[in-house]
Order: sequence, then structure tokens, then C-alpha cells
Amino acid sequence: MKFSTKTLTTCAVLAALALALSYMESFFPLALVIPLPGVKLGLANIVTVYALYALGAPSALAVLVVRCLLGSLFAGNASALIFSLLGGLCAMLAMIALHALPRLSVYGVSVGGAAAHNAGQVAAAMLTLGSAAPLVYLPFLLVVSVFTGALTGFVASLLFRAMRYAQGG
Amino acid sequence: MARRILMIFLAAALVLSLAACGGGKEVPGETRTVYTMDTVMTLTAYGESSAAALDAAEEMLLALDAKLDRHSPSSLVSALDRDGRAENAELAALTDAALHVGALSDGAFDPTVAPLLDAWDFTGDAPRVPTETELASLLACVGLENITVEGSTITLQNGAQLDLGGIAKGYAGDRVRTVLAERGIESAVIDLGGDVGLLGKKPDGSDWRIAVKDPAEPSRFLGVLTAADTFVVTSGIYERGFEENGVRYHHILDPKTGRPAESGLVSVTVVCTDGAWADALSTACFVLGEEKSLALRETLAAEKGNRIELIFVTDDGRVRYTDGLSGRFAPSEEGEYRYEVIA
Amino acid sequence: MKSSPELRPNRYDALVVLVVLSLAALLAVKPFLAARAPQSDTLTVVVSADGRELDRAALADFGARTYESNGHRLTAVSADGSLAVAESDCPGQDCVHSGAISRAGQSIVCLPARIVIELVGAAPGYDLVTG
Repeated sequence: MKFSTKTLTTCAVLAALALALSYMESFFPLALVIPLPGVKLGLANIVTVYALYALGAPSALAVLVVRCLLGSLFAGNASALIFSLLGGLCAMLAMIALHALPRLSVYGVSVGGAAAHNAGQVAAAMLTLGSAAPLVYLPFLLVVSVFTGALTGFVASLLFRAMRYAQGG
Repeated sequence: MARRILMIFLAAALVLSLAACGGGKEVPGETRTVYTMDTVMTLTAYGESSAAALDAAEEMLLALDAKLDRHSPSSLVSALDRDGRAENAELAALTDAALHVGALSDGAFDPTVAPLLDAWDFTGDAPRVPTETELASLLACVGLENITVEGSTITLQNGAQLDLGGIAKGYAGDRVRTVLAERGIESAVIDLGGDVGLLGKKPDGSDWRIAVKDPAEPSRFLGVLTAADTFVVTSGIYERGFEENGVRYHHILDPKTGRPAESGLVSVTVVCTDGAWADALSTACFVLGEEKSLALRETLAAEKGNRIELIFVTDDGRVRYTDGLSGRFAPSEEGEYRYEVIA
Repeated sequence: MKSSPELRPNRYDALVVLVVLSLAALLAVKPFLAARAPQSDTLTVVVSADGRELDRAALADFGARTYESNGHRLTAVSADGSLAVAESDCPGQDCVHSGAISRAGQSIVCLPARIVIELVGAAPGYDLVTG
């Protein structure tokens, strides 16, 4: 698989962007409502969605993995890695599947991605704690994912519009 | 245009990721278990110098116990009880504090009840109910007026015996906090056999959440108290005691009668920033009962600017707590108590 | 662009949302059908003597165990998601009278033996226990 220089640099920029989004969303006190370790809004999926359409699945995957690795490094918390990786990979798989469907807009793909992201987080929590207890939070998280997915989709659509404009359609 | 947006995002990302390098590290916590003062104390400190600080605290606790333990022949208190006189700045200060709480509580807290406690033998192998005559003769040497503190000198009269058991653990908690703080610890929990001393807030900056046991049912909670940098001490009838002929005798004696205090309370919890006072006040308030305790609370606030909060568990199934705790005490739904805020 | 994305939300997106919400509803109902998982799933018993850890086991696997320390011996038994000291040869019997513990942060102490039996694990609502 050959990555062109342009692709590589775009990937790097996107990874940095995803990291920043990840960091920023950690200030949102979601943990007060849902006391699961590593639970997040999933805003970094904006980048994953964009990368998927702009660069294709392999590049998007690379951006995701780099973001997760560096993210847990910066947070100084290695155990966060399994949570963000599992969540991110689930989101990735869901979005690859959904984006193959021609009629679905970025909104649908993002919502599917957000829902899968949260499912992945809960799965990671269940694996870590060794119990089915975290499952109780999934219904609530899924409802939340409809909204965060819509938000992600909206921002992604803005990004696409801007890029389309910049590249002359 | 879009490229510019991307540039701005990238710059922001770089700045933020640099910031991320600094924070977010998990602060390590160290725990030490110390068996002293007739109980088990668990000290947990957070921060880089925790281990060294806890070592110092442990050393201090053992030394303090050696000084104050009435049952140890080589302790200062033991010597005082034998000779009727002693000279020691720390002991004098602590005795003075005990007398102060005694005076404020109209004798409900009294560090001279040792002879009475010995007669009941709560902590020994053969607890028993003393006779009326026995109690009457022992009461002759009980009373705050039998101790005088002048500077660093303590004098006992009328055969009075000093027992600082009702204030020593709280005082120990104060000393532990000082030792830890001096070594740069900003966040610590001191569990003194169930009574709690808090240094600062939790490492993540939030207040500690303390579940309060239901006195009647050990596996249930009354509720959760949210607090920081203060002491939470409880006195109750279920802590120590014995049963004889179907009657239960608990260990908190009324210094005026020499018998277990009957004040309509099952337990009282005091929240106060001074450990020694919290300890002494919990005993005092239990003996005083709700009404007089609330009056004492008013006096403390007015005279000394010292705000304490109280949680009473009454023997008719109510949990009543002072309004300073509303918003900081979340009642639990497990038991069958009625919860009331005291305005 | 590798592929050109549809930027306007349409009925297929609504379908995705519907699927996610139905999944949420389905999962929300399930816990009420199944028995509530007792906390013994995630609680661990930690037994220490003189501050040193002697034994550690999941509450569910604990069974009945005897410990000896400082010339005293006690037997702790777990049953129905809770733990209690069944018997001990210590003078005060405080540990036996402590009753059963079943939540994280609770502990039973035998002073003469210097043994502390504590439950650690998921304690969502509080940091420590007093009283």
C-alpha cells in the first residue's frame, strides 16, 4: 500500500486535529453522569468521517490508530488506550460499512459511527471490569450518540463543503 | 479559505497537545495501617512524598500513644494518675482543650470518668453492671473541677484520674494532618477506627464522598456526606458495650450519673475542622441529646466562630441533620428512617 | 475526494437513527427482565494482618477461610454476596458482632488479631465509609 506524500501529510494533520478534539472533549463532564472510565462524546469521529471520504479506509484507519496511541501517551494513561481503540475501531467498522451504502448522508454515517463508538466503549469497560455491569449505561449512551453523531455529521458536512469550495467543486 | 481553517485547527491542535503533556497524570496514593490507641488507623496520602510522610506520621502516632495511654505504666498520663501531678506542655494543652469542651457542654464531656469506665470494664474480659453504691462512691472523684491546668502543669484532686481517650484519637488526627502537610501532602484521608480526618480535597480536586454507616444495620448506609479538609466523628450506642439480663449497656457514660447516657439518640455525627474537638464533641453531644447539642452548636458559632454540623439518629427512627449539611448530605433510600433538616 | 459524500440528511439517515434508538430501547428493557447482577460480581475481599496483605479473592469465590495472626484465629465466610466473621477466639468478639459487609469500602476489624477484612471494588457513590 503506497501512501503519497500528500496523503501522508494530510494524515498527520488530521491525526493532530483528532488529538486536539479528543483533548478538548475530555473537559465535558460526561463522567459525572456516566461513571465509566474513558467514556467520551466521540467528537474525534469528525476527523475519522472526513478521512474516510477524503482519503479512503486505509488512511482513515491509520489516522485513528495514531490518534489513539498518541492520545493515551499524552494523557499519561495507558489503560485509556484500550477504551479509545475499541471505541474507535468499532466506529471505524460501522462507518466503513455505512459509507458503502450510496444513499446515506454523512449524518447517517456519523450517527452509526457514534453509536458503534459507544458500544465499543461499553464493551471495553465490560472486558476490563470483568462484569456485565457497564451494560446498563449503553441505552443512555446510544440515545446520546444520536445527538453527538448528528453534531459530528454537521461539522463534517461543513468541512466537506469548505473543501469542495476550495478545490473548485 | 478551507486551507486557512485547517491551519488554524492545526495550530490549536499543537498548542493543546503541548498542554496535554503536562496534566492528567494519575497521582499515586500510599496507605499505611497503624495499630494504636486501641484501634486500627488507616492513613492514605496522595503525592510524591507520601511514603516518607506516612512513615513520619506512623512514628508520631506510636510516640503519642506511648505518651497518652492510661494503661501503659510508662506513659505520661499514667504517671499523672499515680502522682496527681505532671508537667508537660503538650499534655497540658490537650487536657485544657478537654476541659474546655467539658465546660461548654456543662460536664457532658468529662476526662475524669476513668474510674467509672474501669468499673464497667467495657473493653476488658469481664464487663459488668456496677452497683449504685459503687457508682456513688466513684462519682466523688469525677468532675471537671478536680483537674487544674496552669501553664504546662496539670494537677489532680480528690483522687481524680485523667483519661483522654475521648479526645486522643481526634487529636492524633490533627497531628497526622500537620505532619503530612509539613511534608507537602495536600490530599490525604485518615481513618481513625471509623472516624475520619480529611486533609484537603481528593487528588482530582473534588470533595470526598463519605458513606455514613447505619448504626442499626452495619451493611447499610444512612447517606453520603460530601466534605473536604475536616473531621467526621461519630459516637453511638452500637460501638462498644455488652448485654446483661437482656438489657444492653453501651459505653458512653453520663458523667453525672455514671451510667450509659440516655438521651434519645442512637448515634450522633459531628463534622468539625478541629479533630480533637470533633472527637470530644461527639461524646458530649451524644450525652447532651439533640436539643442541648444544638444550643452548644449555637454557642460555638457565636463565641468561637467555629461552625460544626451535626447528624442525629434518634431512637424513634429519624435522622435529623443541621442545615449546614443540606446539599452536602445525601440521604440513602435503603433504611426506614425519616430524614429531617434542622433549620 | 475519494468519494463524494451526500451532505444533506435524508430518510435513510432517519432509518439509522431509528435502528440505534430501538437498540437502546431493547437494551433498556433487558435489565428489568434479568435478575439484577449483585455487586458480588465485582467485589474483592482483601484480608490483611498487621498491615500486610494476607489474602485476596473475589467475593463470589471466597467461601470460608480461616486466618491466624498475633495468637488469634478467625474464620470468615461469604454467603449471598456478603461477608461476615463466623467465629473467632478473640476476647471481645467485636469482629463477630460486626455483622455482614456487602459493599465496597466496608470492613471488619479484629483488633486483638490485628486482622482487617475489607471489600474493595466498584464503589460508584462514595470514597470511604465512616460511622
